Amino acid sequence: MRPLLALITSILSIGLVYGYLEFAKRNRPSAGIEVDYAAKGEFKIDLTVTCPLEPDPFALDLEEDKALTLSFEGREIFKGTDLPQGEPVNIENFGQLQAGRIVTMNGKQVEQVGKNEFFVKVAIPFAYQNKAQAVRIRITQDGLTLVEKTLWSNAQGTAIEGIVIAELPAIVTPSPSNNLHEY
Amino acid sequence: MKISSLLLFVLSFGSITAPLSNLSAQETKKLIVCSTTQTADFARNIVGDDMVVKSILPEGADPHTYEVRPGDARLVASADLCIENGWHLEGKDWMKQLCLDSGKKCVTAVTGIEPLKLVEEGTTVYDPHAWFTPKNGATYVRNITNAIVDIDPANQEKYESRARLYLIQLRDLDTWIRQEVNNIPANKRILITNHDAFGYFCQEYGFQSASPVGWSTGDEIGAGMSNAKRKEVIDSIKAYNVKAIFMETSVNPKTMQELATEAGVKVGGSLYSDSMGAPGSAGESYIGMMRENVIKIVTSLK
Ligand SMILES: [Zn+2]
Repeated sequence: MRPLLALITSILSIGLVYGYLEFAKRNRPSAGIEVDYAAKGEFKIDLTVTCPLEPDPFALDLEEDKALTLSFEGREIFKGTDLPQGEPVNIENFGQLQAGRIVTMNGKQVEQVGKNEFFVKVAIPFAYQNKAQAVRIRITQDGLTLVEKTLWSNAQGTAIEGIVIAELPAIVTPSPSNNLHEY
Repeated sequence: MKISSLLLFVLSFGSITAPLSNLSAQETKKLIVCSTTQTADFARNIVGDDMVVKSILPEGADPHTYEVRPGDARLVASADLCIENGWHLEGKDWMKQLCLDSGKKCVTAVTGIEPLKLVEEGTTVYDPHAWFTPKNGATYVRNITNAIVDIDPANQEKYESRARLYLIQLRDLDTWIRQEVNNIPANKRILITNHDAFGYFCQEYGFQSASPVGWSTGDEIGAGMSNAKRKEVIDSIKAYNVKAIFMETSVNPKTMQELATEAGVKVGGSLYSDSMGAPGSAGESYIGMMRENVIKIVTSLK
């Protein structure tokens, strides 16, 4: 009798919990307005490498992975081996950059800068590892430099790896009803 | 009483299901069976805890002369993926045969490597000890990663992510070896070991090599010790004024000890050659065995 009672009680409890969760899910407040933080303007990247490149023997995929890869938010936007030494390579149409926004924290409006993170990786050929090598990255917005950074080879001289962040501030529009902005 | 019954029910339900769920998680893990310890280490670095990796060859054992046991056939039969080194490292192709007997596909890890060709008794033999350069190690990693992704494409991202990290370590290992070997003057870079396991290493890092046994410790073409080979090695030691010769952890040390006495040269220690060291030893991993070998070679020859 007792095990049967325990079983019934358990089924009832599980049923009640499930019912409550379903109720809560249906009555959850909606996420609100969809906001587009996409930055406006034309963005371009100039990449310049100090040494000629060769296919990387330590790449995971010799067919696909090239000596230089540039990723934006985890997505490869450029890779190549035949890059002219000391000459900038222009990269366009690589995706949408995010502008900053204004958020409310502890009742105050705070600016949260839009951070657009690029990851660059260059495998340096053995013949060029005897001295420091570098890659320069320049990101422009409508022809104006947004960020320019030079990354140097690691201590062993085998590779260049690093992050470049293009920061886009928020611009507050004078709309009292919407504290979000347009950039 | 009612509350205690309910509690008892909940507790017993939990205590029964928890171990069951652990057990089923273990049971559902795929099994990779590798012929050698090095290929198993590469595979482990790619699968993490997502699969179980086993090596047929025990640590310190010789793949050329290994004799399969009944347990090996059962292990291969239960595998989701079988990996061999290839190029007849596994004497008489014992791994290929085990796979054939169980109807399993056997992935060859050396595929795509530029072989070091040895002409033995008029026959061209591919030197199977290709893992002895990190660059070739990278090819093993690529081949093994592809094979793993083939059996579990849903987790491709995880396997490739781990493989990328491991390839970074191999790149650093290669650079470190070049820096260390740079301490040995070019005319002193002569590596004398029991059998020709270090051909790729010698070619990559500028060493001459010699051994009394040849490319295999088994009885394949051109393998095994001969008086002529032994004499050649002793002559080389004397001609090049070699400071030290090396034993190998997977081969009986007797030959090299006798040879050292005869040639009046010291033994620079035991190098990890055809299999890695026991768990807990410095050579328990591929990177560890390469590191320890280089340290012994550099300190003995420089
Ligand atoms: Zn061998």
